[in-house]
Amino acid sequence: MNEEPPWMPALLGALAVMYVGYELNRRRTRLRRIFSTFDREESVIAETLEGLVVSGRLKPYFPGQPAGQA
Amino acid sequence: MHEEGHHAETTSDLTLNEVPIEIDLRARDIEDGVDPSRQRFHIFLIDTGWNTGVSKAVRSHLPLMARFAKDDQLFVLSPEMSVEVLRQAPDLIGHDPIILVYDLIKPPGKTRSYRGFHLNLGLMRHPEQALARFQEFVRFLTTHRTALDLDLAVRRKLHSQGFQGMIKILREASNELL
Repeated sequence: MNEEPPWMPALLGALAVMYVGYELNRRRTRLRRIFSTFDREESVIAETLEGLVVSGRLKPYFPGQPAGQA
Repeated sequence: MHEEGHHAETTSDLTLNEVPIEIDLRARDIEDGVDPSRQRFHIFLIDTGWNTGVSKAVRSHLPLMARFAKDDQLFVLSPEMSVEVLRQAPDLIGHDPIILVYDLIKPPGKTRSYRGFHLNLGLMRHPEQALARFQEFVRFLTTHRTALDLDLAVRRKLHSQGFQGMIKILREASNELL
């Protein structure tokens, strides 16, 4: 009467596999949001950055220099 | 005489500081292999100051990053400049501090117009988590400086694709549970 149905281990196994799949997918999506490649669509940013450097407002950073100051 | 020398030195310093820096962020095709002693990346830190904890942690480790990336150029934007840049890309507002890396080398045979990659540290809640990702990123930049196809390397290593990536994610998940 108290015996578990024969399909119970298979169901639990399937749920475990589904959970691992879900978790992998969730973590990979998060990683893609944190580290991402970019292409042409961000060329507007590139133009702004080039403009800041060429105008002399933004200069290369060297260790020992306070961050955020040219 | 001494004053004149001092004046000449000051003038020369001023001249050096005033020389505009040439910069071209476009990726180029290369015919030979990647020369490890040549510049590969232009690196920019964009930080408006939304995420103060993460911002502080990242800024305190910038000298270290600059030493690891000594063959490349690192630029640190002020909060005002960061706002100016993010106004051009509003989707990235709130993702900062962002480390934006322009790759000077175009991956061979790619039709996609890859330009580089970025690390959105502002998406991390805790400074410790952000530092761990920052370290991983610096390790990636240092170990893959001579890779021809960085686009592929980013997907394999940083996005943890493939079987090895799956193992890495599961290991991280189990470490979090312990």
